[in-house]
Amino acid sequence: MSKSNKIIIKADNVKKKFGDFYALKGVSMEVHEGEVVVILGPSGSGKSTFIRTINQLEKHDDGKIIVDGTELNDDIKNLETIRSNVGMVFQQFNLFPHLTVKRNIALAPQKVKGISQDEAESIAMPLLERVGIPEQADKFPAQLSGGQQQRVAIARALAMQPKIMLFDEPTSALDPEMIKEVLDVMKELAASGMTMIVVTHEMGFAREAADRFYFFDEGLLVEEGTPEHFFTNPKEDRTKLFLSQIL
Amino acid sequence: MNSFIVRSNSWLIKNLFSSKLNILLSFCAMSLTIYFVWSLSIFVFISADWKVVDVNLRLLLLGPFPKEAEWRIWISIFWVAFMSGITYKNISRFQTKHLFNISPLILFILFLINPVNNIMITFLLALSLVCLFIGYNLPANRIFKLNQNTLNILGWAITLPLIVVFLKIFGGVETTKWGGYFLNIMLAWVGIIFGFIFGLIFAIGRASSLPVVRYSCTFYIEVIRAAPLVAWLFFAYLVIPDLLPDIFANKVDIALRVMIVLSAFTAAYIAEIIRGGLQSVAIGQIEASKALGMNGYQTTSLIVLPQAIRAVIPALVSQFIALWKDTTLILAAGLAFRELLGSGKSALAQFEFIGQYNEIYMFIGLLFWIVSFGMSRLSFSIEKDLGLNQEG
Ligand SMILES: Nc1ncnc2c1ncn2[C@@H]1O[C@H](COP(=O)(O)OP(=O)(O)O)[C@@H](O)[C@H]1O
Ligand SMILES: [Mg+2]
Repeated sequence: MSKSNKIIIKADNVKKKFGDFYALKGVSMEVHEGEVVVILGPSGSGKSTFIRTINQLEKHDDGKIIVDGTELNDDIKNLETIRSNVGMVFQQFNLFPHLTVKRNIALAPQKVKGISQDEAESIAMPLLERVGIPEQADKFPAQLSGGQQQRVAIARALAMQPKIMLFDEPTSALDPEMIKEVLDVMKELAASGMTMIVVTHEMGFAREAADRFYFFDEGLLVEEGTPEHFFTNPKEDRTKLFLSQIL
Repeated sequence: MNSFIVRSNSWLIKNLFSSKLNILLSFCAMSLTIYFVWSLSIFVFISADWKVVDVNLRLLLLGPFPKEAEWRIWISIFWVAFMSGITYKNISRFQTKHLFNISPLILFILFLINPVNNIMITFLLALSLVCLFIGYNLPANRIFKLNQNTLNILGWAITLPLIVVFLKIFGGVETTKWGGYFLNIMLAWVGIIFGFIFGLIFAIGRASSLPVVRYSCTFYIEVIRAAPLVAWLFFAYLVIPDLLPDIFANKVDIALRVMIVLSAFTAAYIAEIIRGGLQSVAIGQIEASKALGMNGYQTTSLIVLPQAIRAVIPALVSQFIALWKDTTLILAAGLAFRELLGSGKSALAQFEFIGQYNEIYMFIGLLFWIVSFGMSRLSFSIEKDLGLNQEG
């Protein structure tokens, strides 16, 4: 919420096709440093595809994406460096099941940044405290509840000290009673000034934490604005219909 | 004691006598087992004449290996015992210290019964036990300043080369003089290690995004699997020398050729097993790893392979056990070797032992079983350590 004027992500007319099917038909978006952006839209509208182009888990076919001053294209040499500046949290957690919680968090800093194992593990503990589960450090992911796993996943992404965090429906796979503990961590993160793009249907969280809303439908960005705007007078019919369904 | 009886009673009732059908089946199974154990005991302890094994023990275990070079094998055994001690401490989750605490007793009994009627061999066996004991009690990780896992991997990795050195150093023993059980062990060991390493490489190659790499790996795997092992052994024995220029033909050691064939053959099967494991790793794992900034190599070696291999440990061990038993096929391919089964046949050809099939084959079976069973136990304990297996 501590927004600066610096544009940290710029997407310009981004297109992505799978076979003949366009999942993104030209999406443009600017995200300022420190901004918290929520992406809404029906299933299959291209929300995941869009945020996955930002760390190039999906290569876009057309258009331009600039992340923190570097354009993402085929010439890019150090994709890994860009990726380590952009943390991602998945719907299915995707923790590494063969590693303990602590190792899950310490692995990437150790291997990507080349620091020692001890040093990397000393990063892990404060992060686990930040997400509220320091006592789980030596357990394996399968021994944790869904909410705890997702909090570990957030800690794991934060361990790379990213400038941007992407969340793809982080609470959709959780039992209702565990959603809050994850959202609380995300709210704290938002308040700390992290730039965040969040795909979510949790309108309570969105209203409280978001600076801007973007509504996607059929691979297009249909409407954007402040949370106020969306809750009081959305313009497009498709937006209205969608909001009436989820609110 | 009382409660133990009660508990075992209820276990018996629940598992064996819970219904009429179960009672019947349990009864049949027990009768069969008792009959089998009884007749086996009669044979082993009363009617069998173990002289054929006793006299031919050296032939069965070592084949034509020269007597004056036996120390090379003993040194190898000492080293393996030492490494086993180090590893055992590490992989065993149970408190088995007591087993080692009674080892002086075991030593004493060993000398008392003097199993092979040869005090020298008994002494050397005892020395191997001592090596095991030293390995178990040595704080090796502190001495070498390595963590226990690295120590185990390093230790076992140098074991095979070390044994080759022990066998070859100071005018060692020609491989054509290797034989018996020892030869089976060496062949299987080499086959497992190199079969696994190359299997891993071919599996990764087959999943590569480069078509040339992918198709060559697929081609290799399909070609190898198209013919039986015996055919490849013939190939190594008869065809390769014809293909090589004359100057090389006799230089490429026949044992080496057999080892290459066993490794190459096993590699194809291991590759397919590991490929199955690779496919079982969720795509989300790769995405999570890449999203953290790890490159392709790091993702494969740290995230994908450990999970893939864990998923296929049972299949891998089956393949290793199959290879272990397939080492007897070098006899079927008419090679100049006498491994355990071949040595057994030689023993049976001796005039005074003609017809003593039962004794010889039972002994050979036991020797094969020991290693197969050991491998299967080892795989269970690894799975247990990884939290994969609940039973066993
Ligand atoms: N790897 C893929 N291959 C083919 N089609 C895909 C792939 N990923 C997504 N799609 C399609 O692209 C569209 C957008 O998907 P997605 O971005 O996941 O939507 P959302 O996250 O908004 O539900 C969907 O129609 C989906 O079927
Ligand atoms: Mg999605």
